Amino acid sequence: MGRQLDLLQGTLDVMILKAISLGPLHGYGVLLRIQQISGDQLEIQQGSLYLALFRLEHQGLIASEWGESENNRKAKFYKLTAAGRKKLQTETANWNRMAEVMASILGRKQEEV
Amino acid sequence: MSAATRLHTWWKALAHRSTLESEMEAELRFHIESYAADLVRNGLKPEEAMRLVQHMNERLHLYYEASKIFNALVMAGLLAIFYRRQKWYFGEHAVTSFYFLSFTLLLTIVKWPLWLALGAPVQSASAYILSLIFLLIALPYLWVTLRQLHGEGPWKTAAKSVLVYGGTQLTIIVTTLVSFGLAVLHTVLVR
Repeated sequence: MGRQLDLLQGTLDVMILKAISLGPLHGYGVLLRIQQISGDQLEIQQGSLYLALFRLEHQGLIASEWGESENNRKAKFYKLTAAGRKKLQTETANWNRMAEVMASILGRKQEEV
Repeated sequence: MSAATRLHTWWKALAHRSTLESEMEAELRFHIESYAADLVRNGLKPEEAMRLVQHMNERLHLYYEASKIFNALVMAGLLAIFYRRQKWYFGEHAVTSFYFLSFTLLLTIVKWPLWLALGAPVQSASAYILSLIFLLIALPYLWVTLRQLHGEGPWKTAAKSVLVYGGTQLTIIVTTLVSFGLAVLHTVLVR
């Protein structure tokens, strides 16, 4: 596997929203799910992850409650709120548009200009 | 995103700081122990896993400890204002106290960038609000004490004292306000 990619500014929040949209997760689970769905291409720093979770909860995009983990340990689980789901849809649409625009710009050849 | 949620988290940070901190500690502990268990499952020797996890644990807790030490020093500086207010005049005590306050000011300036660089959340903003309240209470005390000490007489000396202490206090207040504002911006707006 090649070198892991650096996170683009502002993408961690939307990745967390996406990971949680697939089902409630604890912080460590969020980290593992992002790494799993990115094919281990991304490495998330724990400090950034918990700061982002705190921020998203503060913004009302995710909610948390204490529960029991798969190994019967007490863990804090995060789930998406209605506002978070809406935000994820908007951000996904924006990201897809941006990706199309970038692909179009970067794929342009001289004779096409 | 609702204002109610934001208010709720701020209130939790202000009024239930210890609960919030213990929850964060528990969350980080769970993270670290899960990570250690995964490492062992993936074939790492338990001792090696413990070493890695210990390293991670130290990093995660660094900002907690740094925050507590800095807060304690800043608060000690503020308490000194009350304790020594009867002795505050432009002389030996003033110079000592001035250096002490300058030191706490330096810590105030250093704390936030260091803290944010370490990726800390802003739940300890409550300590800053308290510091600010203490500082604002201290200012009139200083003026009254100076008037008592110097009477109506050496206005020049009194003015110098006010300038030195007032300037120091004002700098601390401004720094506190700016760093608090930056911290709020960092948490709420910056992604």
